[in-house]
Amino acid sequence: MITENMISQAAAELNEAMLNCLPEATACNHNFSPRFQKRMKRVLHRLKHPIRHRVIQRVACVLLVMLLSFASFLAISPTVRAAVFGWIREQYESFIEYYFPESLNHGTEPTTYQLPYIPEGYEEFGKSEQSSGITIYYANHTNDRLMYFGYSTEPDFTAYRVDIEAFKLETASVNGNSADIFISTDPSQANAIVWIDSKTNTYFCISAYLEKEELIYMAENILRIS
Amino acid sequence: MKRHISIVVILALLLLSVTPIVNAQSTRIIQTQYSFSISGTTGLCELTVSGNSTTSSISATIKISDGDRCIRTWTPTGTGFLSFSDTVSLAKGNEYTMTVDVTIDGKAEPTYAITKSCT
Repeated sequence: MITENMISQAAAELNEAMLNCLPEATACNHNFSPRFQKRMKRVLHRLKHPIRHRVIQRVACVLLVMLLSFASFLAISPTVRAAVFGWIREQYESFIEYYFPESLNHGTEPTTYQLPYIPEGYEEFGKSEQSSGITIYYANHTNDRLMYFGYSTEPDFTAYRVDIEAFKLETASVNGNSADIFISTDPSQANAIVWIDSKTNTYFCISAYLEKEELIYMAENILRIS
Repeated sequence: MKRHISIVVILALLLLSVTPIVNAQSTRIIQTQYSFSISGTTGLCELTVSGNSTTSSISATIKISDGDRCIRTWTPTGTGFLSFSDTVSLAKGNEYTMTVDVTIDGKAEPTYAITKSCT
C-alpha cells in the first residue's frame, strides 16, 4: 500500500534528482533576447507592486466603460452630439452637409447679421426668413447673377447641404474659425465660403462671384446688427 | 498580441460609431437648407433652396409621413430661390419623417430626409 507520505518523499527525491541533472548556472551562457528581458522585467515589476497593478487595471476598466458609454451616447443621441460638437460637418462624395442635430437653447432671441458691403451693381433680390435660418439674396443689374448670404444659429434640427461636384474645395481661417471655400472650376458659377463661428455657434455661408481673398475679407467683416 | 488586437478592434468600433454613411450624388454648388422641428404636437417644416441665378426654376415636394402613411404633402415653387415654411399637426408617441425632393432647372437633387419623434 503506497501512502501519501511515500508519494511526497518520492516527489521530493525526483525533484532533487531533476535539479541535480541541470547544468551549473555558470555553465549556462544563454543570451536572452531584449524582448524577453523586457517582458520579464515587466512581470517582475508587477510582482513587486501587485496593488498598484491591480488599481491601474481597475482604473483602465472604468475608463474604458466610460469611453464606450460616451461613444454610444454620441452615436445614439443627437442632443449629446450637439452639446459636444455643436454644428456637425460631414463630407460626402459630391456635397458637404453641415447640420445641427437638436437645439438646446429654445426660445432665445435670434441674432441678425449683415454683409459688410454689397458688391457694386448688386441689389437685394429676396429674403428667406425662417426660424431655422435666414438667407438674403442679391442680384446684379442684368439679373443673371445671384449671390447670397445665409446664417443660422443653433436651430432645431437643421441641415445645410452644399453641392461640390464642380468645385475645388479649399480651407481658410475666418477670425480663427476653420472655413470651407468652394472655388468653381467653371467661371460662370459663383464661389462660396462656409464657416461656423464657434463663439456664437452660428453657421454662415456667402456665395458670390468673388475671388477667394475677397470672400475671406467679407466673411471676416460680417456685421452683427442685433 | 491578443490584447493589442482587442484594443485595435475597440478603437475601430469607436471610430465606426461616429463615422457617417456615405451616399448620394449631385451636380453644382447649391445650398439647400431643410429643417424639421417638433414642439408639442406641432411639426414645423422649413426649406430654403438657393439657385444659381435669378431665373433658376426651383420646385420641391415635401412629404410628412408616419411610417408608410403620408399625412401631408406640399409642392412649393420658386424662381431664383425657394423659401417654404409650414406647420403640421402630429400625434404624440409617433415617429415622423419629412422627405424633401428638390428639382432645379429640371434636374432632380438627391432626396433629403429627417426623422423625428413626437414625444
